Amino acid sequence: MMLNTFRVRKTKNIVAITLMGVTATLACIPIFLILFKCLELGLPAMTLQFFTELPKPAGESGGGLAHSILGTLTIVTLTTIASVPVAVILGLLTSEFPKRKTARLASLSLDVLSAIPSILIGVFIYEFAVVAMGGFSMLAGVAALALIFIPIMAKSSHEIFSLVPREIRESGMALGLSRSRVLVSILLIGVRGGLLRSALLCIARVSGESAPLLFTALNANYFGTSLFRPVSTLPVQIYTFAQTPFPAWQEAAWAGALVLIGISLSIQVMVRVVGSKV
Amino acid sequence: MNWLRVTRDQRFFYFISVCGVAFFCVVCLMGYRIISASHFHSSSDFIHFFTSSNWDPVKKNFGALSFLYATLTTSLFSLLLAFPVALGASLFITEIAPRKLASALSLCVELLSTVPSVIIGLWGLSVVVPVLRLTVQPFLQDVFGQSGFFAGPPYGVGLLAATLILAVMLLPTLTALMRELFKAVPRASVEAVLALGGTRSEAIWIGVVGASKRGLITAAFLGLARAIGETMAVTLVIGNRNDFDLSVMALSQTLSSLMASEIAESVDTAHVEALSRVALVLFLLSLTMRELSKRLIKLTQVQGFSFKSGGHAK
Repeated sequence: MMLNTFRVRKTKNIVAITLMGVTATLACIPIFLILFKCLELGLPAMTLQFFTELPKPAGESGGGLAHSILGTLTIVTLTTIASVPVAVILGLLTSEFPKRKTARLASLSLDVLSAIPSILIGVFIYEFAVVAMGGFSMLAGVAALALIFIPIMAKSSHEIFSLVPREIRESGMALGLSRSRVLVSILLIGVRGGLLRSALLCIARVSGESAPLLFTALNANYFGTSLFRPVSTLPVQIYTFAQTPFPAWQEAAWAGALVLIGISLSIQVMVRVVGSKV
Repeated sequence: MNWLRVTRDQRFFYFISVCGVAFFCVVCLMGYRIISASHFHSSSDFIHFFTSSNWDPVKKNFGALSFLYATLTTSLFSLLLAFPVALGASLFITEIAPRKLASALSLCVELLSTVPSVIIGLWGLSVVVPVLRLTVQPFLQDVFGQSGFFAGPPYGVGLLAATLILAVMLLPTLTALMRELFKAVPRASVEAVLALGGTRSEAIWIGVVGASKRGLITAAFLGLARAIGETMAVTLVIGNRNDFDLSVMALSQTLSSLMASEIAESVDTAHVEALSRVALVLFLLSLTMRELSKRLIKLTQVQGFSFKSGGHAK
């Protein structure tokens, strides 16, 4: 009897561990399927044309997504420039003055913003900026992306600041520096590598965002050069092309997907490189 | 206060405080906009919105029941699918796999979370949907009959596809959360079970999973919040039809996919107002999830603290 229960327990053990192994394998499969499909369908469509030309009319072959690639680069650059300072300041406020009222308000709003789905940020900017300004524009897209960028980066910079040991701050104070000088010249400079890394990760995140851009930056069939006109971005362009039945457009969507994945993977690699150097 | 005597430190604090308060104002404005744009005219209006499934922008009839149904079913069932897989995978990664294998596995799962949601939608539309249409859905109808939850022609796109895609997207989120959770479990609680003669799986089940029950519930809530708000991938594979249908085969529409597909085309005020109400519902749903998981996190921290200080493990 005792031997029997022991055997049962042993079998259970083996079954349970095998099951865990199976689920772990299962969890790894999707990424390979997605990457494989992107390479299979995206690589053939990645010609020189793809990077230099505008899309051809529906049904015709050829053409490219130059305007979307450029649009994504522009909009993400502008978002980064606009959000990084705000995010760092908010991170500094919430980590260095946690008991002050303003810091509490800031961290409450960061919490709320990071809890709500990104499409709601799009809705807000739509109702606020698009309707008020009388049209879809790149500026509205930048605002929407910034509202996604800021909470993520502010939270990670909060973490980064709070990891800095107290002694470093204290030794700065002991040298007779004022508190603001310590924060700006010692803390901020000391963690610049970490901040750079978290900014890069945020860039990877927002470059793939499409929901908030759908009805802020909208989409366009020309190169976006003006802040006040709609601009095409890769994610929205992929979304638009994925819903069409035209093979040439679908191929372009896959090539665009490959470019997007390429951007986010190269950022991941960069983050590791930066992490080891700074 | 004499402004000439304000020190540099104070000026610095005022400066960053102004940034913080300005940001707070933006968020308040956002909440205010969404609430004010979506006001209900009467209580019958309110009831109609939640009980009617007739959404017809042309006739100005706006009932959101079918979207609520689709949102809740897709996110709940995707959680049911993804949770056990994530649990097994994260246990395997933290407890069983040797270090190199573990880091390779967790890299694979983490990479999935960096794939933009629109690409997962594209993949779902061109890979998962055909498989569903040609094999899975006919098979389900053969087994369960063509009525009730399995009624209707197999289109491929629809509730089932959305649930599967959401499950794929939840996997990395849940696995990452659970890995953090299991890493924080003190080794002593596993070793105690082993010392009592437990097998390895019993030690994992009692020592690791048992010690992080509340955390697991928190992870489930966070996953649910993520699933409810997920937009692009769902919009691509759910079929975008506004009618109510119980069947998993049916083309449908979630709260978020509805906004993604209709906002840019909404022109008359009644339509905009109805879409704002949908946004408000989504807003409140995600805030509730957030609040619930936050409360639970606080409870876990208290539990973890008392466990550590009582055990003197380290």
